[in-house]
Amino acid sequence: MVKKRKISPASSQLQQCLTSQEIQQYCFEKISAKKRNKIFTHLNIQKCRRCIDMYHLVENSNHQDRPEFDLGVEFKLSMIEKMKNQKIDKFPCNIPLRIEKGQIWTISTEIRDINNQVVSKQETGIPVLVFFPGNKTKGLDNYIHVFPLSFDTEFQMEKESCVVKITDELSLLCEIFNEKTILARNLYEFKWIVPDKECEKILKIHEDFINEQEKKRDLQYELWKQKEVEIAELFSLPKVITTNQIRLEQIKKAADSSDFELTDYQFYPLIQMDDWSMTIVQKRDILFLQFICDKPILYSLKIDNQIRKMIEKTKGDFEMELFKINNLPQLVEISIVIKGKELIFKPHFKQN
Amino acid sequence: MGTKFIEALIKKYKGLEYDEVYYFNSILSIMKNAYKARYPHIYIGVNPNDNKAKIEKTNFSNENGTVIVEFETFASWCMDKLVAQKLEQKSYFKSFQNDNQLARYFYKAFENLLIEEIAKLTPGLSSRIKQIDKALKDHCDFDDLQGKKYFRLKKLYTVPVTKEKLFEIAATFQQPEFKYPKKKDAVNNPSIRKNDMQAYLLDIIRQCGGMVFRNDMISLIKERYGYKTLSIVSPSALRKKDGDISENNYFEDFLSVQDSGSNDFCLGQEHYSMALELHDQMDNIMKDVYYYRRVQGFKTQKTAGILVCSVGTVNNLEKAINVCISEYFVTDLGEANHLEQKNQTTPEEINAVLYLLNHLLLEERMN
Repeated sequence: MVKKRKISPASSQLQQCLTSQEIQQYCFEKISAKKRNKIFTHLNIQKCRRCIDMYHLVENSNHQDRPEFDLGVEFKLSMIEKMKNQKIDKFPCNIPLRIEKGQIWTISTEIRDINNQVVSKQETGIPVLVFFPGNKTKGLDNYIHVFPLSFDTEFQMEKESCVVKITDELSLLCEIFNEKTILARNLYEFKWIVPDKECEKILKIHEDFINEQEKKRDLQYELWKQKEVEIAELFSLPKVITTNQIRLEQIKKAADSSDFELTDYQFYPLIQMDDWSMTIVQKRDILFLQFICDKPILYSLKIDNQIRKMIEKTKGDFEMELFKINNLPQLVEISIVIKGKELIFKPHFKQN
Repeated sequence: MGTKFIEALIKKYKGLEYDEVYYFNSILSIMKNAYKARYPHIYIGVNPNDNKAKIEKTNFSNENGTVIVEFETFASWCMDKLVAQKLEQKSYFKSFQNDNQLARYFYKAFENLLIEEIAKLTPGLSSRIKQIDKALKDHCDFDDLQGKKYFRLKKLYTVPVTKEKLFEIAATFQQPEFKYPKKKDAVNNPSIRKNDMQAYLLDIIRQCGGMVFRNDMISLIKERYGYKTLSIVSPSALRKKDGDISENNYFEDFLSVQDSGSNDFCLGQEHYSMALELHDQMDNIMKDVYYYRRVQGFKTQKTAGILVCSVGTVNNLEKAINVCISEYFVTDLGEANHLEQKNQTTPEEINAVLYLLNHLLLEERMN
């Protein structure tokens, strides 16, 4: 039996939890429909254990009647002194010139799109670990890949996440299952750098994770995971998923027919835009991915969750080998991040 | 809203110079707010050596389970949480829109801390409270009467028994025994079988006439099983805001609400207002049909028999009820200031409001 975790899945990172004052307003005062709806959902649909307990605790009392109080001066001074003398771990105060793999940054509370427009505002921004820094700048269209980090180390799950030690007593949970592509400009403050060795270990777990089938775990964990994914989607690039079927043509061999055309290519377009396109090309018994663009565009490509690079054959014509026909998987996931969006294609292959 | 507080925190963890007094005072005011929200009925005396406060502190170490920690103790816990338990460091690894958001983050953590720490002061009791709630969940309504939570046998309408009467009645029943773990080195606390506890509690409630206050029930269990508060942290500098506060107010602390286990909705003031409005929009015959069909779950024919009318009339009235409900939630009927409220009501909230309406009608009939 799975041991129950202490943290309520809906309370992850305390981010969406309510204060007792907010719950009190909900219980005894007139509030806006939006706020009421948000609190109702958190209590009754997400069923946050922590906030339900708070709901039962609140009392209807007149706050204005409560007199102000203060601590004794001596006590106050002793607390300040204690705070001063406490040994704390210091964090780096430099700002790195370039974004590098292994850096931990916080996400900005104002999320901007590729046109530098604010698309959403969050109350808090979570930390992320950069594992693919793109062109290493905070430039307009630099796409980077990150793992969100959380404080909920209780939810560590083998092969899906790992604990990153920051100081002797502070660790963060690296959510390998929750990898996201973001615009580098949405990084806010540099906080820490994970040593290379530990970074390699994380990337190895990630590699294992993408090569393995995702398993369903206990409900409490799944609820938490879903919440974390939702939080990360607030700052990651919007995704557009397209599923289609590709019926591959039979390629004749020279010996089969006298009228055989040796340059017999088949094209299966995935997307065609005004200034760029992406196509799967069948060249005899090999499948290639072709990307054509009018003028240089920054993009980032992943095939089955692995970051890949294409070779520029001629100017604006990129290509990479996907599979040999006799080694063809049933499904492939091609993800391209371009012009502020992540387009995911999931073609199913069928052979004639 | 500025970012002075955030900047102080960041500077502190970067080893830069920061305004320590400002930072501490900000933290202190968050602690105060978290404390006041938990104990709104008391306040901290300015002078901890006040003799009157000293006399009154005995009032707080009562036997009914109330544990009130003094503010200085709470402040020390918070300081420990901030530094030793790395709350500050965690905040350093987040970005906040403004100082208010950082304060909110600390506030929630302090609220949790107060609840957790008080729970530790009476070990074992929180499990018993959870068990009481679970045992009574299917048999009792769990609601509140003038701010005091109660258990009432389902579909029974009566008045709550006094605490003294409850204790008197309970004295005639033998409480179920503890089951101790067989293993010598077991770390679990002794348990009580759910069925035994359920039967015991229900017997008492029935004997009491069907309704008891939840806090009184917890007091009873605490007394019968001899749960002791390990260290009563007496509120040296605390005293009552005004003289006449009932015992139940003091008891209304975390202990009484740990994991209510109830499947009921957690509703707000607006939901009650909506249910009342909806109730007032129905005429008497509609209420009758609603009650028999939806609250009691009677068939159309039976409802028609009770109301001495045709099945067709019941069907028509049901349609009218549906129209009334749907119009209430989607059109601009009703008071203008409720328009915005209703239009943003989700299906789940509508269900919750209808659940309240059921209760209203049921209560109306029982009275």
